[in-house]
Amino acid sequence: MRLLAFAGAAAALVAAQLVGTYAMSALGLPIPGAVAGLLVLLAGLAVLRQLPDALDDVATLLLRHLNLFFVPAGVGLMAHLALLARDGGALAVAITLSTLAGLVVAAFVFMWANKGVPDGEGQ
Amino acid sequence: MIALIWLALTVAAYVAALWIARRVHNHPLANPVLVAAIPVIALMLATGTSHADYAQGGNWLLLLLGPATVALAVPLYRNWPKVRAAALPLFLAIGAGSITAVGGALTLAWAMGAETQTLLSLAPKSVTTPIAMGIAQTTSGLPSLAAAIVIVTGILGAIIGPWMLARLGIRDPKAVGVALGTAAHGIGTARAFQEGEETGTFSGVAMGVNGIATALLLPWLLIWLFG
Repeated sequence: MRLLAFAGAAAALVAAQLVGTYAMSALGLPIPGAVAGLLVLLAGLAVLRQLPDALDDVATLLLRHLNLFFVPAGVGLMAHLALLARDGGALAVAITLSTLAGLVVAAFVFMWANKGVPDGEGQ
Repeated sequence: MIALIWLALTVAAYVAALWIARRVHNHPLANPVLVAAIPVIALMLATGTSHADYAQGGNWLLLLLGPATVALAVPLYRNWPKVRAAALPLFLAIGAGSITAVGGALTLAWAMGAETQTLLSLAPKSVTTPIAMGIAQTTSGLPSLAAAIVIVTGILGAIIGPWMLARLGIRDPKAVGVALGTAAHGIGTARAFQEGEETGTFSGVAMGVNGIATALLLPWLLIWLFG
């Protein structure tokens, strides 16, 4: 039974992605199906007003190992070394500094704007 | 058969990377994507395996990235009151961080003499790979270069981000999460979940919002700038 619930939860994730993919292509929007599927599942949970245990378990497992799904992309960098070497110095400096700047600005703006905003806990 | 072996090797390298990460208390430098990729690349070079051969196995894992992205809805649902309470600060932070990253990258690379095609491939560096490749495609950048830049950005952000924010005295899990998700997309979000569910949730929201806004707005900006 437990296995069946797990399979159902996994199927729900895939179904949400499919619905998202079709909706975006129907609307002609350049948003990946998985990102749209996130919104589909969120809307589904909002309607359901509860989180099925099996879905919680499957999602927690996938998110705990989110890094795993990026490893092939990391390996893929090997194939792109020649491309990255193009304008290499400029790219390295631009990527490093702009990423750091983006991180710091996002964090500070959030801290500044979030001052005095209640936590939302206990609502 | 060969594909299955590379798939198994990738998972094994990931398990080893996790073990190492745990040994050093999840230090950001022990980034599992980086630590797992290195031995796999070394094995490919040693055995003369092409990336295309590897990808037949590796792409199975990439396929799971879709449902894993959808799964972000679960912690988001669970933490909804917190996210809703911080909605305005979230939008402001994502907007400011995103504009800083895109503007900074374009300005720096342009000032250092990078070609237009490189600039177009660099601009979408903070968002998840499919969005970045799509943007590079519509603006006549180089999709594969854009994808590589996205991965480098994500690994870099996940490694340096937590360290630098701690240095600057920022320890609020929400702020750290927003920063990682805005600047370092999914790999930053994976790091954020290593730090805790609240950090991960805010990172996921930032990644999603930045991705959607970038997909809708950045092509117009680039066509206006370079068209």
